[in-house]
Amino acid sequence: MNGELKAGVGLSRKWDAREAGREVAETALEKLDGEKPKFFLLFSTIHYEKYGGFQELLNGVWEVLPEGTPLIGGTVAGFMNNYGCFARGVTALTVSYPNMDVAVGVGENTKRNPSKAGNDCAKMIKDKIATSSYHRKFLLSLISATEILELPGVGRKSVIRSKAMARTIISGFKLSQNVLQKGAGMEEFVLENVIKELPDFHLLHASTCDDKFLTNYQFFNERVLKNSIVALGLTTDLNFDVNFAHGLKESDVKFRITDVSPDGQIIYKINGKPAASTLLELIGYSEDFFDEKLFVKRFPYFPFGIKKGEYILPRSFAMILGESIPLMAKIETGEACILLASGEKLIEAAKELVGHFDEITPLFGIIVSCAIRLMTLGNGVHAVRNILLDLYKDRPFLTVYSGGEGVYCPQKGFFYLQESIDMATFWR
Amino acid sequence: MSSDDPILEVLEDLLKLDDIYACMVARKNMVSVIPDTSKFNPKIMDVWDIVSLAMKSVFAVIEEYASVGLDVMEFRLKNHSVLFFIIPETDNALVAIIPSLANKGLIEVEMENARRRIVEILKKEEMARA
Repeated sequence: MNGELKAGVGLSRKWDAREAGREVAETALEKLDGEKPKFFLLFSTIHYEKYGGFQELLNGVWEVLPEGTPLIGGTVAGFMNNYGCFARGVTALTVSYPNMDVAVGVGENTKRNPSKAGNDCAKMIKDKIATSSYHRKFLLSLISATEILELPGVGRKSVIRSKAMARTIISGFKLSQNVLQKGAGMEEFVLENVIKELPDFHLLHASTCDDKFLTNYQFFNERVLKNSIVALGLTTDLNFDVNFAHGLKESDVKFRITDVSPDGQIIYKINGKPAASTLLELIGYSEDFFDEKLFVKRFPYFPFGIKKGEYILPRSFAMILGESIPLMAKIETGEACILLASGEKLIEAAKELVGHFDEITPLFGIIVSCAIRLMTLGNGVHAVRNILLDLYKDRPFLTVYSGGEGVYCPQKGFFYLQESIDMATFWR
Repeated sequence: MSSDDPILEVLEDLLKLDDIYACMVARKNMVSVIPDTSKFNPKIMDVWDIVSLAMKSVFAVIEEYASVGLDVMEFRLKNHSVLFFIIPETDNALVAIIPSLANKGLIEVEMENARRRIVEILKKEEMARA
């Protein structure tokens, strides 16, 4: 190793899981010119579940990847890299660089016991990296996202307006969460504990997901996991920064969230009145807005917005249950608004984000973006890739489309995000 | 284009996606490349006749506007959506029939990749002929 940083992005579009694993590792590692990788990030769409399974995908990777290379990864809705934009396949990012110490951590049962999972994972990293002489510290965390419940007799639904049925379902949430580990991803609860243990790390977070929020997997070295956090911690002499943007704009619809569940995951009342009907009143739509068939296509365009310092954070709603609105992230009582999204604004957000780095020459980048942005933009996502190519040019970058995002900087604090695009860029 | 065209491989790849019920490369009054129809999702069979008819009308539009940059067209009929990704500089389109509530954004990403592969294949064929 001659002190030079080498990084490579891999891609495979093969359908067979084992062959795809082998190819993604080969294409990523070939750019390292025989140097040993410091770490290997692996992201796949859900399709390999049916074409050999994720263990076979990992087996294929390990046929090629040098033994002992720290590996984390998981399933995502899609990805974008130096090769193109994809909603099917597998990709990887790997780096070799002498001035870097790396550790990986894992914590299981994130939906049942998020605090413990976060602690376990952070402690593994803290212990392994404690003696590092490098002071710049970065953490990439991947946590199993919210998985939509299959309700007995109801199936998978986003809108249930019957109050009696909604009450039954809400009371069943705890059972589902604790026993089946189906339901809310609890990422913020996990990450709060990670940050408590590793407060001097900059964090970039992605929630692993599939294309329908039904199931997802995490990868940790040779293992395939569910309902887990996996994380990569690194210390280095490289410069880096993490940042985020979402491009959503505040509308004139402002209100007060007045009653939420103790864990902050369900809104019961808005302006002191039942939440779902009040939301309809505020945005001026009839009951048809909650049409089950159209709900998933509509809800990303009307997320709630809450203020945190100088930032507005989007909070998407996951379901409408009677008069209650379960969310995919925590919310507190207080002032809120409806945010408005458009394709143009989503693309502008990428420009805004890249603008943070326009003075530097990047070595490589890891970008996390909400799956909803990919689903909304469709083939328009190439416009986002072009913006990223302007920054990275021929340097490796990897964007994963996730079920939730997050950024933590010791100076600015922790931001759990939805519908955002978040970036960690490294330079010398 | 003939039935042993490498484009067939591109279409068969697309057809493996759960929400792509049927796909082909076609132009007005002519299917250029089509995978084995037994691989199509049986759910389209009861709408096939009416969808085929509607497609003919759309191809009339494609034929007229392809030369001025028409890029993508879509129509919805009986719980299905039909996507047309026009192959540049031709009046051919990559066509896919999907459920109307499918995640169209993700399908579009893969349709675009398929279209780009088809364009590359056509360019190679043209160069080989030249």
